[in-house]
Amino acid sequence: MDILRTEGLTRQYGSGQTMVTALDHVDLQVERGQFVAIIGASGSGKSTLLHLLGGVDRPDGGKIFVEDVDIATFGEERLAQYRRRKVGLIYQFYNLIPTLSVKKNICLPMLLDNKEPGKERFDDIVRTLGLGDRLEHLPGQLSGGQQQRAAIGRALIYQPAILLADEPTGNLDRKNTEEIVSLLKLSNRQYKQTILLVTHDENVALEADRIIKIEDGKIVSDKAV
Amino acid sequence: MEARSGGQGGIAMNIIREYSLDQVRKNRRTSVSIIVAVLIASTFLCTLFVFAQSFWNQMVQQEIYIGGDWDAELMDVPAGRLGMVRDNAGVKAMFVKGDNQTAFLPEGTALPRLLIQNCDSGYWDAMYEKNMLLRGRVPQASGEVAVSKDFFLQNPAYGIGDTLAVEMVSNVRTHMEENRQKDAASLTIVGELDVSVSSGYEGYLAYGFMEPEALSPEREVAVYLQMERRGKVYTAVPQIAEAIGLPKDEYGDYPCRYHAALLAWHGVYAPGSFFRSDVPKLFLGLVLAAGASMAVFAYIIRGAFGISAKQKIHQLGILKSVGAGPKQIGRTVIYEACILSVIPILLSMILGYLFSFGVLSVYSGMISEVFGSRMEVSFSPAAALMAAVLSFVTVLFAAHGPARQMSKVLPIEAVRGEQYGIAMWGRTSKKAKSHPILAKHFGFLGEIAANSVNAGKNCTIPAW
Ligand SMILES: Nc1ncnc2c1ncn2[C@@H]1O[C@H](COP(=O)(O)OP(=O)(O)OP(=O)(O)O)[C@@H](O)[C@H]1O
Ligand SMILES: [Mg+2]
Repeated sequence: MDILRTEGLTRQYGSGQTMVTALDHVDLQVERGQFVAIIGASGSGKSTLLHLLGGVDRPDGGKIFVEDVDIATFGEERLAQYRRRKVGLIYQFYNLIPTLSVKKNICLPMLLDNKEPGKERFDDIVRTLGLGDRLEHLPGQLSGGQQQRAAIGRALIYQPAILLADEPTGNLDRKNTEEIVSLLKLSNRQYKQTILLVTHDENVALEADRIIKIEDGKIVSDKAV
Repeated sequence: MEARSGGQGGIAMNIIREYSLDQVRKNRRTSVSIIVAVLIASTFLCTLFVFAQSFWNQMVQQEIYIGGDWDAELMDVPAGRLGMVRDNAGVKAMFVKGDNQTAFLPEGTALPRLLIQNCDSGYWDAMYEKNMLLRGRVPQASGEVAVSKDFFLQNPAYGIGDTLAVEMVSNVRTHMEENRQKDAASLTIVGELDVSVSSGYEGYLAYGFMEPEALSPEREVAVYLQMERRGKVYTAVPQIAEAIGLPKDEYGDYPCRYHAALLAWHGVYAPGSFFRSDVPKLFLGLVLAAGASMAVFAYIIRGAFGISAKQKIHQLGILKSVGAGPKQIGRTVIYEACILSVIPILLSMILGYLFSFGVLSVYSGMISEVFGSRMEVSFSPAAALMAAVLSFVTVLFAAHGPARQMSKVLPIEAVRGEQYGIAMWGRTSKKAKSHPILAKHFGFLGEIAANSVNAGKNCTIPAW
């Protein structure tokens, strides 16, 4: 069964003369447990696609089936629950809450559900992300790369079925990038997590099972690695 | 996956509450403007209520001073049935006046008689006649009288403490004048009262003392009642009249009277007389004044919350995108409202009282020259509590709008708010500057006002 399926997914910005079609009738199917890389030029619509799949944006047309339920029809409260439990979204920019400690930022999706992560899993993630000695710091006291890793931790903590990552390694060096990618792959294999990852880095893309290329809001190529 | 439920470990305490508290601390400027706005609003409301309460108190006291502290009067009650009235469960207190007597004065007085009304001790305590005492005291035993000032004016030979040898006649209406029996008696003058009666009566008004128990059972007296439940007076009193067997008059009414002016101040009206009274109009005025000021303050405070919410829109977007629901987002604004309104509302109770005290002491100094009575500030916890509750309602009402707006924004739009430098941001940060006149002439408050004016303008989040 496809965990993700879009039909005629369309997103437009602005109106009239200045209207931009960021996504143009995109049809996409992703199987459970697949690791998909999304590539394409700047402005091609990669982030837009991820935001729609992550339920933080609403399409202007088309359908988004997650486990055969169309999330485009969800009400606010249900969509929030979907964001909290089903998907982990890693933004191109880190987007942490500056007044909360790194630890709380990472745990945020669970805290919003009035839960706490198990200690083992939390320690595991923190160790892999190399944030063990930064947990009580505020995001502003971290480097860009560290902030990005905290944001990744936040997306992983609830073990969502779907992980959407928008250039998660864009601010990291070679070594860090490799570590993060192997963390994602591990997560993907261990928990059967489905991963959609936007990247400009060819080496990162080649780690995936499948590479999708987007141009001007349309899928122009889609092939297994 | 192992996930523990919150509440046990502390970290999951309540993230939304913690977040709101952090924000209040961090955005000190916005927090201070909200606190000041709430303080002004709640102080105003508290002052208004303390004022209203003091005014009400004054009016009640004044009514008692000039009309006596009673709710209803039963007329022509035979003294033998007074016990039934006193024992009635609806009656809190009862005082008696009546047993009127005429005392024929010794030879040589300007007018031949004293027209005496006798009152029991409860009556003297509760009613207004004691307030008309010019000299001496009120009668405290039978045989003592307080006499009108005319008596002393026209008969300068007499003074307080003098004893008069008189012939007493009891005025029993059912008997003919001829049947009246005259008894020699002596009366002691104990006080002078500021009362007078038309000269047609050929006598001086005087007040005496009586023990209702000492009256013969068929003597008829007027009974003044304070009720246990004032609100029921208009139905309870006719029932009492019926229970003690008073006859109805030709219109089918029992011989009773109500202290309508006092009852009205307590919100009790005879059926149908509600709209004729001034009290509901005054009350309506108070409600309108409170309502209008709440609306104005809500508008101003709403502006402040709007700014605060917009400052946080990026972060609220992040919260949303990791799964905070619309209710949780709305709650951040509501929590902020609660945190920021507690201190100013408490403070406003003191300020409101001091403020009313200052104004009223000046005002009452002025009216005391005209009316002879001062208007006291009466601080009632009920009025302060009422003001506090209404202030809090105002704040919640004011926060409600921004809370709803924030909960409706799409997460990605909120997250982008900062990064993309959406027009709204430019505008919010330039607020104070765009109102140089307000800011310059009214300083900090002007800035808040300017902020709210601007916030009002772009209250709606633009749709991207
Ligand atoms: N809020 C917005 N308002 C107007 N246009 C927008 C908005 N967000 C995105 N766009 C436009 O939609 C198109 C797709 O944007 P998107 O962010 O999805 O690109 P991207 O592929 O992620 O680019 P990059 O690799 O630079 O991150 C672009 O042309 C962009 O200008
Ligand atoms: Mg992008």
